[in-house]
Order: sequence, then C-alpha cells, then structure tokens
Amino acid sequence: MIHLENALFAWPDEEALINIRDFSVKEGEKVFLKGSSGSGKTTLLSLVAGIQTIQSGSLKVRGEELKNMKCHKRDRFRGDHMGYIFQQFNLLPWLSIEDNILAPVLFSPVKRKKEKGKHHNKVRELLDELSLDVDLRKKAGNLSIGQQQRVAVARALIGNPELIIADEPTSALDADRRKNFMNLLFSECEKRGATLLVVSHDRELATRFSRVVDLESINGGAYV
Amino acid sequence: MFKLALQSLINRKNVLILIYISLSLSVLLFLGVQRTREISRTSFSRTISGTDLIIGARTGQINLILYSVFHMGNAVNNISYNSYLELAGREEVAWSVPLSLGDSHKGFRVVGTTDDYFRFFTYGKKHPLTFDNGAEFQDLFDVVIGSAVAEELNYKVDDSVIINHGAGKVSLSSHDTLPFRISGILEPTGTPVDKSLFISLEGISAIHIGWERGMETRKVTREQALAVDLSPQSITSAYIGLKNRRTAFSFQRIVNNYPDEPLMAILPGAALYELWSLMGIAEKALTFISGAVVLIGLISLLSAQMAVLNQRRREMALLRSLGATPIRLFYFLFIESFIMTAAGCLSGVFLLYAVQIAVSKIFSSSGLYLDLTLPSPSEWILLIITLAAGLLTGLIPAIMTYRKSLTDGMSVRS
Repeated sequence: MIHLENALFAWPDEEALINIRDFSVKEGEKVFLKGSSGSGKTTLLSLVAGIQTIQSGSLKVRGEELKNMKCHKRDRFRGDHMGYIFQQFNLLPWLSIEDNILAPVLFSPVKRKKEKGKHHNKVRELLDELSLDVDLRKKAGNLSIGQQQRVAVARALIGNPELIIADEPTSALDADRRKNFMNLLFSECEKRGATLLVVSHDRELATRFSRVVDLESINGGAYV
Repeated sequence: MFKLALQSLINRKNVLILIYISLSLSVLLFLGVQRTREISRTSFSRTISGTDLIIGARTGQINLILYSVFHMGNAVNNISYNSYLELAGREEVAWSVPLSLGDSHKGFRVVGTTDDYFRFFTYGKKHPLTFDNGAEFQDLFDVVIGSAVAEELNYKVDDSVIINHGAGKVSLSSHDTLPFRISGILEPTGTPVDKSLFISLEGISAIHIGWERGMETRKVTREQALAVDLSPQSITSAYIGLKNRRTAFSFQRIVNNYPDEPLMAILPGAALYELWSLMGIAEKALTFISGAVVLIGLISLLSAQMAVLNQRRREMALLRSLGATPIRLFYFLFIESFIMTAAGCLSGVFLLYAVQIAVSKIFSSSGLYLDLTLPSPSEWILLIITLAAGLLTGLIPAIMTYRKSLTDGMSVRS
C-alpha cells in the first residue's frame, strides 16, 4: 500500500526532516508509528497523503509514485483513496454533522461512486455503527470532543477508502474514551479491509496493532 | 462549493452582517450622491430654456440669473420701464417678458409680470407653462400661483391672498388692504416657477401706493388704487427672446452699452454653466467622500477576512485533507467575497430606490424631480467598479490562504 525508499524531505531552509531509507506498509496492515513530538510524524503523513512531496527518492502509494503526479492529481488521489483523521479540529464547526461526513463525497467522484448514490443512508449507518445518536442537522461545533472524533471517523470511512490515516487521533480524549475510540477505529477498518496508519507519541495505543514502528528507527533525518 | 462558502459565511454572520451593512450603506451613499448630482444638474439646466437673453441692472451674471430665474437674493437695482420698452421694441426681439421682484407671500416670491410670461416662458425641453386650474390674471388684483404654492398652502382658485412687502417669510408690513384673488394655478414644472406667485406689473404698482422707502405711510383701498395711474415705472429684469439666436451677442453688446443707464444682458446657458461650475467644487468633494466611504467599506471587509485568516488555516488544512485542491480553496474564499460584495451592491441599489421613493413622496411638491429610472450607464459602471474592487479585496486573503495551504500542508505551523 505504502512504500518509501530513500525518501528525503526538508522544509525550506531547514535540514532534512524526513530521510527514510526503506519503509513499507502492506495492504490491510495496521501500523502504529510512534515518535516523540517534532520527530516529523505529521510531516511524514503529509507526504504519504500527497500534500507535500519528497524532494528525492521514492514514495509510492497503491503503486503510484506521488511525486510524479501533478498537484491537482495528488489532491484527487488523496480524496479518492484516503480518509484522514486529525488530532483536533477535525470538523468544520459551521457545517452540519451530515454535511461534514459527506464532504469527502463532495470532493471525490470515486467515493461518490462507491456509495452508489446512497450516501445519505450511509451517514446514518455509519453513525449507528459508531453508536452516535445525534441530530444530523446539528452544527458540528456543538458536539463534545468525543462525539466530534467519532464523526471524524465516520467521515474518514465514507466512500470506503483503502487507506485510513490518523494523526494523534486520541490526544483530545481521556484515557477511557481513548481505548473505546481505538477499538472502534480498529473494528471499522477490519470490517472494510482498509489499511490503517496511525501516528502517535502515546505508546499505550500500540497494543492492538499488527506492527509497531518507531519513527526514529527508520528516519535518519534531523529532528527539529 | 457555493453552499460551503455560504455556510462558512453564515458561521461568521455577526461580523459579516456589520460589514454587509457598511458595504450596502456605502454603495447607497455613493450611488445616491451620483444620482442627486445628475438630477440636480438636469433640474438645474431645465429651469429656463428658449430665453435668449436676460436683462437686468449691471451686476454679476450669477447674481442676475439667481434673482431673475431662481428668485433667490435681491436685485441690486431696478431698470426703468422706458429702457425696457425701448430695448424690447427693437426689431431683433421676438418677444419679451418683464419681471418685477421684491414682494412675497408666506415665503414664496411674488413676481410682477405680464401675461406674456405664460405665453413665452419655457422650461425643460421648451415646455410652455400650462394651467392646472383657472387661467391667467385678468383683473388688477388677480394672482396666478405655482403648483407648490397651491399644494403647500392648500389654495384653490378664487381664494384670496395677501401679498407681503419684502421677501421674508414673516413680514410685519403687509399690503393687507389689497387682497388678491387666485385666478389660476399652474401645473408642476419642477422649476422655481412652482414656488412663485404671479401678478401683473400694475398690481405691483398698486400695492406699493402709499409706501415710501419701504414704510407704509397711508392705507390704500382697492378703489383708491384703481383711481391712480398704475403704469409701471421700473422693473427688475426681463427675459428676451430673439428672432434669430445669432444676434444674441450683438444684442447683448447693445444692452451692455446702453447709454441711459447701466444695464447688462446675459446668456442664460452661460450663466447657468458658471453657476453650476461654482457648485462643482462641493459636488466633487461629495463624490470624493462617498468614494472614500466605499473604500472604507471594502477595507473593513478585507480586515475582517485577514483577522480570521490564521484561524481559518486549520479549516483550509482540513478541507485539503478531504481532497480539496488549493485552487478550490482559492475559489472558496473568492466566492465568499463575491457573495459579500454582490449582496452589498444589490442591497445598496435596493436602498437607493427605497430612499428615492420615500424622498419623492415627501418632496413631491418641492419642484425637485426624482425620476425612478433604471441605473444609468454611469451608475452601472460605478457598481461594476465597486464589485471589482470588492473582488480584488477578496483576492488578497484568498491568495494568502492559497499560499499558506500549499506550505502548511496538514500541520498548521503557526
């Protein structure tokens, strides 16, 4: 699913932050990437998602070399094949819950096709699965943090993307909810056979993953 | 994308409503000033037409046109009736109307003239005066009133009217022993005619019998007045129509060099132009100020967009993670500004018409003509300029966000 080889990336006027000789994630794999803050976790995810591109080397997602794609192609690629969960500020507070969940479908024709025009029903199904019982027309900004994170999962899952990327998804949650949330994310990904890549500094999350990788062990770049 | 932009705007409604109001008001002000300017210019130039020359005692041409046409201010001197008769009798002259000013009725000016006034005076596109009711004066003590006078004082034909001495609204000295009968009411013209009363030159003489140096020395009754020789001694000014307009300059020279007394003749068009250019400074200042107000409205829109830019970087990062291209984000912000300025312009125009309707209801009798017309080409241009300027101010935050979202990626590095 993901394959990096001699991948090099540096922010302008800084030393290389990402310098990965060899790292890959297989399809359906659930990988936990741990690293302390400033180790380049989020930057790595930006690279995998194709928002930033590596300056040299190779980074392939689903067998496609991201840096060879044009900018808007990469955006399209990300919209079509990935679901992304942030550590916080996951939802657009001024949109309703439903519109938030449906936003990826708006941007990606592939996801729309996968839902076969039944995306409105799918929103309800997803929220049921996530046991979130709320009024869909409610503004997302009015939800609690825990509820917002679950809506974010629903949004990442809609359109069945092959790759789910989560960036410190639990940092805004307390210990109990953290466990529940990870269980939920896991079972949803397993159900769909999606590949899951989670980065966090929180080692306690690592327990259920098929593979745990320390970013510092694969990354030869300088830390900020 | 439009819906998304709209929702995002609604989210920030508190600030944006204020900006929207300031935008609408500034558009209203800008267009309002332009429109008032155009209206006043046309109503200005339509006050008199078809008159080739105006004769009066020697003074400035602006002063002469002010009192003879606009009935504002006072004549510095009179001209003798004989001089007038001699000049009006020249062969170049097609028609002439004498005017004798200086009296008033409840703040409205009284004009002494002959019935030639109703025959030869034209305004606008050579419109003659027409009677709404009644007819021109027949008797010595008949008066014809303008439409605004009739409306404001609620006068009808055959009502009687007391003429005051002098031009003030409140006058202690009135010719109250000699009431006038209203013989006719003129149709509205949108010129100073509406706010004037017309009596015969003899009528003016009659009410001044027994008055010496502005003081009433004895009361005169109607019968006594009729017994006196009332042929006018002097008038204030006269309108002249020539047989051939090309003789206007030579006739003007003749008047200016009149040997018996210091007279002057002016071309109304030139005098109106000079008067207008005098007011042009104020007009330019107004345009400048209203332009500045629009600018301030746009800057407040810009500053509001900039203030939340950092906060919105997260929003943009989020949208990008969902597959939105930077170009789309750019559109997104662009549409936002477009909605704002377009709404501002639209309601500005709407307000303009609302105000105009309200104003024309209030001032329907004042002689200020406000035609409800579609925006003129120049107004369209102003609107388009405002819209374009609004879009340009929207572009600045859009470009900044676009750039930032390119470098930010998903981590907002603030």
